[in-house]
Amino acid sequence: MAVSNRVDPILWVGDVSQIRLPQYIPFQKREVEIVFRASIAEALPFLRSQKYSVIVLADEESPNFLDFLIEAKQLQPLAPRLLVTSDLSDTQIREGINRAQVFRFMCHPITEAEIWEHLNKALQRHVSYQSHALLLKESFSQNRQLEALTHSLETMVEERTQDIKNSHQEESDKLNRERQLIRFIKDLAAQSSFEDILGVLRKELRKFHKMGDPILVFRLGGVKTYFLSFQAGLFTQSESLVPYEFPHEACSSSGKMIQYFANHFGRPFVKAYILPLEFRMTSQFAGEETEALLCIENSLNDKEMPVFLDYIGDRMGPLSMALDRVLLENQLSVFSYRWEKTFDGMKDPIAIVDSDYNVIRSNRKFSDKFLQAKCFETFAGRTSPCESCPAQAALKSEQPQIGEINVQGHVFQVHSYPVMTDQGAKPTNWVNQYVDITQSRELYLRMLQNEKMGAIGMLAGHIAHELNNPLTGIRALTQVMQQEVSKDEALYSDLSEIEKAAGRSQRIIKNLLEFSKGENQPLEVVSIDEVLEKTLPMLKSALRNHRLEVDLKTQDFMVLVEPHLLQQVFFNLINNACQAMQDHGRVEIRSWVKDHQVCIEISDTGSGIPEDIQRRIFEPFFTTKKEGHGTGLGLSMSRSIVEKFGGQIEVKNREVKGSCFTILLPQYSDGVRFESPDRR
Amino acid sequence: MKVLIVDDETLVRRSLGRALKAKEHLVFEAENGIDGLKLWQQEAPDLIFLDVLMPGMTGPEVLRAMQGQSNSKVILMSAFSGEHNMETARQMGADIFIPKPFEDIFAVVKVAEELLK
Repeated sequence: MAVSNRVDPILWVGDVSQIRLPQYIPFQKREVEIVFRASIAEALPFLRSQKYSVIVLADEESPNFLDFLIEAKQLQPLAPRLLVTSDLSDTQIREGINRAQVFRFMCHPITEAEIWEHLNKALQRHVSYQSHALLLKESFSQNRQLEALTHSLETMVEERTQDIKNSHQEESDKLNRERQLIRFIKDLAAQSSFEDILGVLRKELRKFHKMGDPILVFRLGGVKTYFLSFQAGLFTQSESLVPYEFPHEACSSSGKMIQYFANHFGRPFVKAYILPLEFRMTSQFAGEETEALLCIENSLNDKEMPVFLDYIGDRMGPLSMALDRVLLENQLSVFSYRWEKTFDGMKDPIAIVDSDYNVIRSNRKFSDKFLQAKCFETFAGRTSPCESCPAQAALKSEQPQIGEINVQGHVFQVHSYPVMTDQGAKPTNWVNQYVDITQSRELYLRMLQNEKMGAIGMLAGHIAHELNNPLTGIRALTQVMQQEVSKDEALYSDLSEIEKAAGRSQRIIKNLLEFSKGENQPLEVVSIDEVLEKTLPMLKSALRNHRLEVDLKTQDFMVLVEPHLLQQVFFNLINNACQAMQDHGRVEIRSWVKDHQVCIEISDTGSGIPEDIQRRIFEPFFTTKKEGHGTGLGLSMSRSIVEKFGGQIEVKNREVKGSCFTILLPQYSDGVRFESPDRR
Repeated sequence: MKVLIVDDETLVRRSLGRALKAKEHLVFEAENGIDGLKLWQQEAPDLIFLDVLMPGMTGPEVLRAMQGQSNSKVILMSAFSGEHNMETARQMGADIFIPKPFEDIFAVVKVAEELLK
């Protein structure tokens, strides 16, 4: 840095009379002015107001010269101080140096040249001080700049750090928001009803205070508008037929809307935000134009509203989809429910069954239970597939097949329909429809039985005619001949035998004719014993290898029946008894009266009837005989005949062996049929 | 009395015939309706035993042929139970119906004699 050209003047304080001094002295090609002041008192104001390069104190008179010098040092540290005296003590010198840092001491007498030299030296020192000071100043200012620079750098770093911190915060906020959104979506996905979904939304909305519960409003193409809302914390569904056009954009509620909602809910509505929802899936699959909106009551101010809009904006998509899904599911389950009800309404049991006979679905008629086992377990109570089940044949042929199964006294026609899913793929499931044909089958077989009996009756009629004619002749002629023969003769008793045999034959024919009469003959008052006695001759051949023991005690007790039907019952039971025994069995027939009930017991010494079968033997079509050897109708018809006459039929096993059938018929006397004890 | 028996069953004719003859009635026999009708025309019997079911001409047909021209009493007999009874027999012009088989031939003869009194 260049040293300033100008040099401040030199201050000379004190008397200059002893020496000759010019006004200026030369110094480094310049002239430096010397300012003279006579005393310290005179010089002091100047010292305080002007700058000087060198200060020379030559005022020996003044006792306070040291103070002046000290002040000079303080005021103008760059100006070297010179002291001119005639006499100085060591103490003064020491003090001058220590306290005022006097540059030079000059003692009288001094030469002009010495003064010049000292002044020169002092000026040099001054200049040197000055340049030092400049340098110092320079370096100080540079330091300042550096400091400023450092400071600004630090500020920048700080700002940057803050920025980073801020953006970090923003990121984490954003992440948080995303997380919340994801959680919300997950929550929604887990819900399966409007209530649950609105519940999730409701919980979310609690974050914003001043927020009402959400209301879902939708319309499924029709005029009916559905409102799903929370009222007093409870989920409620309501409907309205009032027409109202849904807005297509999210908006704050208009006065008209408020009125609409207020009218519907019957309470004041403050302010609401309306968000239209799009139910694309439902519209597409349910085939109806579905409109929906979400109404959120709130009292948010202008500052809070954008936060809410931001928040809800993020959630409208997922919410829309979740509600759409639930609505579609609801619609589909309504369809499926209707479909199920349709099946449940059908009178026939129906089941979808897989190839392992597991029931996949079934209607109520098939089973009331929700959990299904194999079809034969559930439906037939069996442990293996039903023998005549047509399902496997249906699978094999890929065509519907029909079969018949017997389940607890019911005959079911089973229609097996293979379920053809994909073109060309083998069916693995089938649908079984079970048509209960018990009644029609029973009717059919009964009709057959009636026809058979009718045919037998007709045949019997013809035979009876053909036999009755000669029998009449034989008997009548024998009677005539008996008249002509003396009773003592052997011939008479021969004729008598012929007459009896003919009479017996006639009775058998008569019985046969009666036996084969059709239904709905008039009721007759007869004794059971009589009916039994008429029946037994027709069973002679069946009984020929067995012993028959008859013990009848109801000759005098009447019953009101169609005798020929009762005959059929006895015939059946006795015939069954014979068939149940190996040769040389024993059939016992007993009758007695107890409590106005006429009882007939027919027992055999056969193998008896297993208990599990006993319950079922009176069911139509139940038979243990081989196919073609019995219709399974005999006992069921016997029971219906006995019940027709107000009686009961029971079966039990005999203690030793064999079975025992008991028929109870109400006694009939004086035109009154006694009620059986059970029926009273 | 003259009694005509019309029945295709020989044993019936013989037994009835013998029982009636034993009571000293005059008996004529015919084994079918056609012969029976002829004998009726020839002999004009007081009583006719007439079977219902016969080859050629049935009892009811014989009755129709005789309708209005006969003073004979007629006993209709049938072994085919159920088809005829006293009422239907009377409608056809017979006096009495007797189902076959008879329990007692003499009871039948008695009924016939009662009818002729």
